[in-house]
Amino acid sequence: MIGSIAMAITLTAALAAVLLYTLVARGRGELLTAARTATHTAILGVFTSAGVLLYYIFNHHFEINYVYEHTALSLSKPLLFSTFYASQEGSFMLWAVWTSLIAIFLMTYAARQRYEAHVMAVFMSILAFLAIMLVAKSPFQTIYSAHPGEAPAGFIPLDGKGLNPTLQNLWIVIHPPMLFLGFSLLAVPFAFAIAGLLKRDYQGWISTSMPWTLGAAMVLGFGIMLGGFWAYETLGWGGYWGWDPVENASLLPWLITLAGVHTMLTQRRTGGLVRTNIAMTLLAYALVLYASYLTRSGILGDASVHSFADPGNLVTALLEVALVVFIGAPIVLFFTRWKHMRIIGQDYKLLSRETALAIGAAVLGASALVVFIGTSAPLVSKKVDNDFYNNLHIPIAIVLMLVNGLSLLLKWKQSNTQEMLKRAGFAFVGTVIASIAAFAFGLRDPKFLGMLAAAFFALFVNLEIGWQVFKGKWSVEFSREAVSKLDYWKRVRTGIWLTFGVSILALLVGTAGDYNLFANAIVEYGPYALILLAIAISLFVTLGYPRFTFDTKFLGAYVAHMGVAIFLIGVIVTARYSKHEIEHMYMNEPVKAFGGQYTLTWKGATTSEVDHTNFIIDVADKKGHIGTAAPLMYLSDFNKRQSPFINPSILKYASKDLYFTCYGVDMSGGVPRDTLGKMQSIKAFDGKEEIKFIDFDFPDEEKQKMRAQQDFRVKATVEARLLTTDTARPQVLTLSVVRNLASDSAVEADVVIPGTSYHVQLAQLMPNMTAPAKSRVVLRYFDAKNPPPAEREFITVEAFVKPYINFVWAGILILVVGFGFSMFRRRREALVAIERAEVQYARLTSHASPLAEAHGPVVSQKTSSSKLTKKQRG
Amino acid sequence: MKPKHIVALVVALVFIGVAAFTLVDNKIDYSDFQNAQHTGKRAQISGTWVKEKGAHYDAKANQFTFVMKDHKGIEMPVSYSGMKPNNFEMAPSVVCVGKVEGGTFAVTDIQTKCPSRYEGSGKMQTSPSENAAPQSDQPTSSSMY
Repeated sequence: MIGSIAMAITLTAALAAVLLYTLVARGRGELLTAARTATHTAILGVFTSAGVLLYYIFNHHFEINYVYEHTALSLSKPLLFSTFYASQEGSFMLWAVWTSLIAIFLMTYAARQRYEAHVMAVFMSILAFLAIMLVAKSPFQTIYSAHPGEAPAGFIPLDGKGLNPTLQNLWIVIHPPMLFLGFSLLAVPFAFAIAGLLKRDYQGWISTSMPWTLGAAMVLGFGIMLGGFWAYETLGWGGYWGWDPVENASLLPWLITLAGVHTMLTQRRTGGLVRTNIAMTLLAYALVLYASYLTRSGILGDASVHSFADPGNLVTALLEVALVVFIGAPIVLFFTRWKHMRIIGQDYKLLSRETALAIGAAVLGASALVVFIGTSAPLVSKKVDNDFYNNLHIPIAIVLMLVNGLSLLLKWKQSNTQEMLKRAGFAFVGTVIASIAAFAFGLRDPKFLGMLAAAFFALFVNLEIGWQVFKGKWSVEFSREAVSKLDYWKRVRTGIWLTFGVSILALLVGTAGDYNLFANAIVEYGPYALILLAIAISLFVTLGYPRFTFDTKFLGAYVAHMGVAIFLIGVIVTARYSKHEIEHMYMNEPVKAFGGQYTLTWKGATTSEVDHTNFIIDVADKKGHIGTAAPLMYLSDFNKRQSPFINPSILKYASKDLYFTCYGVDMSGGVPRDTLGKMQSIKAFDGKEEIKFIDFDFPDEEKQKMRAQQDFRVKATVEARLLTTDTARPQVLTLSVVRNLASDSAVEADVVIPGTSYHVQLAQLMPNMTAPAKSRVVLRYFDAKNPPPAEREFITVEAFVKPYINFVWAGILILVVGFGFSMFRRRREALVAIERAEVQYARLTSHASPLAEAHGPVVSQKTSSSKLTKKQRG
Repeated sequence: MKPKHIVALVVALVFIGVAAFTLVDNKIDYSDFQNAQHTGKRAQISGTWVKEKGAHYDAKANQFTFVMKDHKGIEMPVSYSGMKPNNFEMAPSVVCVGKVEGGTFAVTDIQTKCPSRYEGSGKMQTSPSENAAPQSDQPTSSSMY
């Protein structure tokens, strides 16, 4: 109840905030306080209803349909938390929570930038849309109103249906929240772009929204990577990206944002590309909405493993309306301002950084176009093969990596060819050497070689220039100055950072990056870190401490570009050199895998208390034991225990992963058995004998015995025909089985076909009482002269070698860190600019100029004065 | 128009041309058995598993085989190099991508469309024990030793 009411309040308050902020933007400044109150009310409503939903989930309120459908008593706390966004209603809630949280910070930020009314009007309309969805499909519906007629009013189930086992994974606790944070953050540049259009400020909004754009790119990139990592760690097919429409849907806004970040840099420099940047920003958010439409409307039902089931007509219609409003209105606004935005930027020569950035953005746009076409194909009842994406991304990757490097070698406006070639010397030589090495190691495919060379070029350029930029920007000195009060805190702080930094690094290296091992090691070694911390602090306080200067201000681009290059090298090498084999393993019998490179031995199985079975596999290379893999297989009530869920086991090394997925346990050998219907026959004993099942013999007296719970005898008539000689007429055999109820066992009569050593037995009887003609038997048969091998268990395991897969993860993480550096730099710049403008404004107003108020301060373009930056940091 | 714009336009047109060819090469139609057999191209066919004809996973060959009926009611054996997908028995429909070769639908990708994939299914169980009851795949009324 409280949850639904809070959500209704949010909807009303958000709509009021949109209206009030619109009025404020039209000059009714006195309504600003009311607009802010409405905004805060809406935010409070979201937090309240989210809190109520969490309360219901954690306290197992199964009378709430959402809690019943997606949770269960058996789920651990982190997994219960993840059910918060397991389904459509919950993920809208998560989206609303992030949007509200951002709204709090955005309001003050935009207010300082004199953008509050316009930006918040747009931003709150997004929250209003989310609130409409949450009212239309409420997570607070009770089970009896959701299933009228099936459950009596007031009915409370004892347990819930539970969460899909593939989602019962710790990565799921952070992957969706990161994606939704990214989506929510992209609404900020969207709101600023529209505000810029409304205010006819086509330059200022870029610098102002830049830190948010970079933050969104950072978070979304990280979220997409976590999704890939989850797939790799959980699904067992050995890959991390399948071009699934839902994966693609999150990729599309990211690619356009990446392109936009680069064209925005050009605009900051030249003042041109005004329309491009607004269009890019609007497009990025349109793609967020398009993505949620595709995944939530049920339209991808057949095409994707991720998509939600059809949510019903109302939700689909609302999503379509939102799509039209949030894409249509900005387009109309954009074209009404079209002529007004005809701003020609400063010209630049062909050989300039501007050109390289334009090419980079165009190529990223091309990538987005390819992904968009493939992802949208299901809308016209088609689908594309993954080769469509893979092949088209070969030229895209090559060009992208070339301009990745070139853009940093080139200068703004115009470059001197000779100077550029001189600067490129190191990278050029490095690329040639690395490519020759790759060729020597057997990489002959021109596509892969081309991509690898381009990626190496980008890597070396960024390494060299990044290092030159960074060289003078860091230092370590040992300080033994006199201790002042302030200094004590500095020493303690250094101790904390250093101890935790070194400890976490040591644990990461020590556990080779294995998430579970790492988590355990933190718990195990945590106390030791505290001792270390105490030692470090006492040493630093008494003896003196190392002082680090670490200026990352200009590093963002180099670090991010390096990350992309490393990522691509990882992608190329894993794509080209991954190997996989299917192995059948008998217990304690070593199997040679990958041409004898590894020896795998199935050692046994362990079963946990939750009925999860790990198959223990000893892994050895030519030198001996290198590790133990334990792929998991389990049955779950979630799919009525009909087929097993699988979970791979990964042995991680710096240069490769060994990845094992167990597919099943089967039997080989043993006495062959076959199921036969009436008058059906099989060829047995290498085709020498035909056996046909004629009929049952189940007399009434035996049936009565069965009903009276006594032992009873059933017989089956079988015809055996020797096929090797022409004359043999069918031999009629009577097979029988005695069911012993006392010992709950069956005694089979063993019949030998006369004149042969062939034995036939009746193993099982499946009479169909309602349709006797459909009755079946299971027969066992063997040749006594040539007895079948003993029955043995074997497991089927798919083994993968994934070389340099760590480059894929590391590359993205480095890219994310680079975005972080850039985000903080641009945030500082935006704040410094506004501070400067405020000073200017104060001076103007003290001279009592009434005009100044109406126009607001002018945000200056070049802002990175080091003096001011320092002041800002201090 | 400046020469650099012309170059950019040409490059863009070439890319779009290549992309169009690649798209034609790699597109997969939603189809049915009759059509897929006729064209001989890769197609995506959705249908239902013919339960009476069973399903079999051969671990040695890593081959999963079953008989599928498409929306026109035509039945065809399906073979897939891989394990039986999760939720196969529960899925009301199966979506396969592959080629019809010699009367068999050789597929590279099976997706089971499961009502309880993310969303709960419409039917609700009022007793929790039903949840855990294993289902026998035997259509017969009783089975005994």
